Amino acid sequence: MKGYIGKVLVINLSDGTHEVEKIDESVYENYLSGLGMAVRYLYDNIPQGADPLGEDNILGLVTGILTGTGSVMVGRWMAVGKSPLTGGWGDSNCGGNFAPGIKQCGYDAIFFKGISPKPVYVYLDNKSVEIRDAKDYWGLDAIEAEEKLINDCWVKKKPVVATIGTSGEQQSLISGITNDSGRIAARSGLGAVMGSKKLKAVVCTGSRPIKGDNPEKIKELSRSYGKVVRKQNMPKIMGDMLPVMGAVMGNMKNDAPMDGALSIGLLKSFGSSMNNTMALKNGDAPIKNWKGTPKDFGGRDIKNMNPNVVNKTEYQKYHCYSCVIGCGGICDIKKSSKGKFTHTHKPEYETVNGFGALLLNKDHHTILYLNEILNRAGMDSISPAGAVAYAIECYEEGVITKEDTDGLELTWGNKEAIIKLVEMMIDRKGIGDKLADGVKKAVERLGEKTKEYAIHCGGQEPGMHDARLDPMLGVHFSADPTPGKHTTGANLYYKYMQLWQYSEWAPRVKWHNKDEEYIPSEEEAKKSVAMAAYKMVLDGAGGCYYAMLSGMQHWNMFDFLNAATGWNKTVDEYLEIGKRIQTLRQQFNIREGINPKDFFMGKRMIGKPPLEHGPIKGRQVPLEEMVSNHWNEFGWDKDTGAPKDETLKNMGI
Amino acid sequence: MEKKKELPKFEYSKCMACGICTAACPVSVLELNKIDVDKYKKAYPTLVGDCISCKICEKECPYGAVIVC
Repeated sequence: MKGYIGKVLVINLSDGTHEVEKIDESVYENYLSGLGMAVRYLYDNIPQGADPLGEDNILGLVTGILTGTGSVMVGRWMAVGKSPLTGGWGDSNCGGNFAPGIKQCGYDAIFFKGISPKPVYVYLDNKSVEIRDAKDYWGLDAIEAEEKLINDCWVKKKPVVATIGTSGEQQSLISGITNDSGRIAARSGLGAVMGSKKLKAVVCTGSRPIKGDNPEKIKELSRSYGKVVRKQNMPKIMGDMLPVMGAVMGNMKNDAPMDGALSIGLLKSFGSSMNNTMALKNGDAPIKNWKGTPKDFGGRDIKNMNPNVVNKTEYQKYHCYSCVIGCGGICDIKKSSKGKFTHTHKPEYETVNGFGALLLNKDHHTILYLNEILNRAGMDSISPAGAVAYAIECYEEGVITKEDTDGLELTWGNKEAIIKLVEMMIDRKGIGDKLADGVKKAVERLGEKTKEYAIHCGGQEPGMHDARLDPMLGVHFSADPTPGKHTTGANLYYKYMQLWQYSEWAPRVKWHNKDEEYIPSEEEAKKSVAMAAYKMVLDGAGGCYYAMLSGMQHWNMFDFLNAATGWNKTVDEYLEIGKRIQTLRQQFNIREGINPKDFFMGKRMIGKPPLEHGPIKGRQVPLEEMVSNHWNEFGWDKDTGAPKDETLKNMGI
Repeated sequence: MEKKKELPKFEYSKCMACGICTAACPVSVLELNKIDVDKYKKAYPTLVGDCISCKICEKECPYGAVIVC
């Protein structure tokens, strides 16, 4: 066995049939598994022009090559399909324990076609595939449904469950698919696709072994990374020091390669909350719907965003499957929720900044509560935060009134109004219904006059990281076939990864003036292409983004892949696979009639007009030229973003 | 004389709390619920049910932290 199984399960929900399809070896060699195999499968099987919420769309839940092989940091699974949010390729990545569950049932992926005539869930074990009536689960929130399904379906092996909440059932375009009571494949609106298929949940109880080609080598690599992780520890005081660290970083004129081991220590202590205050001081965190500066949200305003404050509520840490860092935590929220809930997953940085600085909300209790209700509804947290920010700015600017807001006083930082609005979005009531499909749709409902306040990339609200600080991030926000995702690439990640030490062509980062990152060049384009290619391989492997940030000198994904598959590919051969995956994702969008330029970040996000204060004061991103160079470097047309015929041919697409 | 049943023993100084053993257990008798091992309050594995002594957990653990004996 080479890590992958070579089989996928295809379920037709319209007629209740299923079949096991063998995937040719060449597909894994050219696209890996996970996202790569999925894009090949969906490109070949979704008809052109398919309605994302219609019968022709295919929803996939897919796993990577390394998952289950004894490799560490490979517990990610991905939801894939045509996105109803952007109209193009959609994918979303999630942790927890669901990924090995799919493979332990004997499949690399499960694909769902058609639409069920009634709500159902799918039950899988080592031998059987059953489509079961979901009448007892439809209408439950994601956590209730998961708990009930585990209780009802547990025979021998404890099931792992991926489910939608009520937002997915209601086909909110910003809904996702959850597992482990609060981890969520939140982006691209794929919860709505699952809801459109009347598929409430997938329950996996298989226990089949998964093997790599060279288990001892894999264990050796895992042990080596474990040693690094064990050594990285931070004192508690570090939580108070992070704003200082951020301020220093924000004021530095120069930059240099970094050792990703630093991120391991911070993640062990704080999880992604490590970024909460650091990002507010270095310019990474968007403030006040992307138009604010630290003058609007600084000083004592950020006191409760200190990760030590969040950690005070955390009574247990947890790891996703095969993770040795453990960035997850469980927080007590009896006080924050006024007794409504006992606990919640530790809110990610994205959630904290989205419902904090983006809305000028200083109250962390609000954030903890919103985190839980969004997890239960199965709704993303980035997009709703963007939608609330849009609504507040519209209200503050007078383009919508109390008549539009159902009486809500939507002012900056009004925590009661923010909570009420999110609850209305979840329930699809009043103005909440208008916002529950993201800001692009909201503009259609609230009028063109609100358009300038709608911050999105091709329909998807961007992650809470600012391209005015990190121009490569802006390239990926705008040029990735699933736009607005902060995980595809950035200058910061590239500096941590140190890919250039292993690749013949990925440009080396040296000590340099930060200004150079804002100058479009062939070298900057090569970096952004290398970054995207690496991330595609990561998603074919099932690896975690935080393992990537550790740096290749500590977690070398390519060594893991060779040990698992028995291949002997070079890093550059893997990067070619990554380029192929990315090119096919782009080609999917071109086939669907997407104009890649429609995915570009709006003016505000590129610094037009520039901010007047703070660490990114005056910064502007020459986006069009940078993206054009990026396309060109990929072998796509530099003016249209369409992959060239020659490129498709050379890549064997 | 009845043969002594072999059960998993965890060496927490080696364990990374990664959950590979709990996910591999075919009868789900291992759970990540021991939180008094380190300062981080990480959840480490313990035996909570009727083990079938299959030794899969021992075999799968990359860190040699589980011994079935």
